[in-house]
Amino acid sequence: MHPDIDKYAHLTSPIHRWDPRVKIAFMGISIFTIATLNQLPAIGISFAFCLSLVLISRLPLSFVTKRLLPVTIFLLPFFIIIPLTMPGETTVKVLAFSFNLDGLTIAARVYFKALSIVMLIIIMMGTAPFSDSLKAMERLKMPAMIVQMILFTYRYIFVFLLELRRMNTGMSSRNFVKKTNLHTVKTMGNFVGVLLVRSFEKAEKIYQAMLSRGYDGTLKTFFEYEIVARDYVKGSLVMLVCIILFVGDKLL
Amino acid sequence: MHISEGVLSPQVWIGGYVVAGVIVAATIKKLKPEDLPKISVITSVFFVASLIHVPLGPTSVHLLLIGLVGVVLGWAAFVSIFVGLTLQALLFQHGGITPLGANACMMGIPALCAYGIFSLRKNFNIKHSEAIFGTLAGAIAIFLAGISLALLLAMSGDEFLGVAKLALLAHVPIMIIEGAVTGFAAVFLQKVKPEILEGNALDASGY
Repeated sequence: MHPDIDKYAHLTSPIHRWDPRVKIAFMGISIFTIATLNQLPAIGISFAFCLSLVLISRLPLSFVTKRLLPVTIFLLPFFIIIPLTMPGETTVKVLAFSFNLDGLTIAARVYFKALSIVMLIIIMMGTAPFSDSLKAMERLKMPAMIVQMILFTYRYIFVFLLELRRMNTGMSSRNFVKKTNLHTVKTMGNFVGVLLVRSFEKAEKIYQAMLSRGYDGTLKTFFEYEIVARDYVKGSLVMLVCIILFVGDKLL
Repeated sequence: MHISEGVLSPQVWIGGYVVAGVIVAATIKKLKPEDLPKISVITSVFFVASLIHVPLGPTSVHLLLIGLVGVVLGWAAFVSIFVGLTLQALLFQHGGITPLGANACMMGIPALCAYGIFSLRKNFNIKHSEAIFGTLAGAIAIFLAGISLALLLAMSGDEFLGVAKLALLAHVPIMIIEGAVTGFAAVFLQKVKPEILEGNALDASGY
């Protein structure tokens, strides 16, 4: 389950060249603007806008669509559940079920809004190495403690994934098979316990190693970002689209 | 278990951010720099543990371990869940950025409740108190998270009522499995490394 988020971080595109701080700030504004949209036409335009940003960013479409999968799995059932459970006038009777067509519009609204936002997140995170993006977030006044916890957690995930795999191999080599019974649940409980204890002990060693290399709770970097006029031009363009979408949505 | 982008109404996700922001700010005030690696370690263990699947009849569910986060991290549980969800939203496109505050409340507040339930065990001088209170903490945390999920959906609009009811129903079996796993894990930790329970590892001065 390697996130591969850094896989295409080194391509060249106008978005890759965008200063990470400015990029994250304006992508954030767009995300929150799109989240407030209500009308299907505005949502459609935002979807087209995000799709064109994906094309500009030169991120491979397969990379993007793979990442749109979780949100699709979560939201596709809405197309069935909402029309079935929503009371309303425009219903069509299919066998014994009443199917409310307005529900389909609502589900489409939710789905395309979600797709647009997730595409923006992919562009925001996929066009720079994760560590650079985190640094930019710290510069944008995200609390330093949160940024560091995100960074450490990110680093440790891969260490513990290996640990998990090793332990899984150990269990299957002892012929353990998961079933729906108390024995399985007890084994999983102990498994999580072992994982916690081992990881915690490993973390103590890592922390001592960090201390001995001069860690004092702050994030240090060797380079500084530099913002040029072009960064702001890109920001203004994105901002303009956001304002049009927001105002258009409210006026419609 | 998280709410995805696009579902919640602005009032709900803004409200979620306000509540989550207050709790995170209060927790951060109490944290010392040496706590950060410890919380991060446990956060990533839970991140990884959520990939473990437990078979349930014909299907399987993955562990959430919200209750166990509370049992292990105590008062710092909320911030751990907040960080975990941020990573999931940014890197894996599970959950999302706008519903982040609401999702953190939905899982983080039950984790704090689990901590409260688990620490009640000291008032009862009974055998197997870790098992009993661990199981309760694990199960009640999922129950509360399920209710919060249903409430957040219902608050976002009547059209989501049906989805909310189904989501609540789906949590019943998960509650049982989570309770049992949390109970066994609590017993194990009490036996092997009791000092990492209830956020005690955070109060210890240095190593």
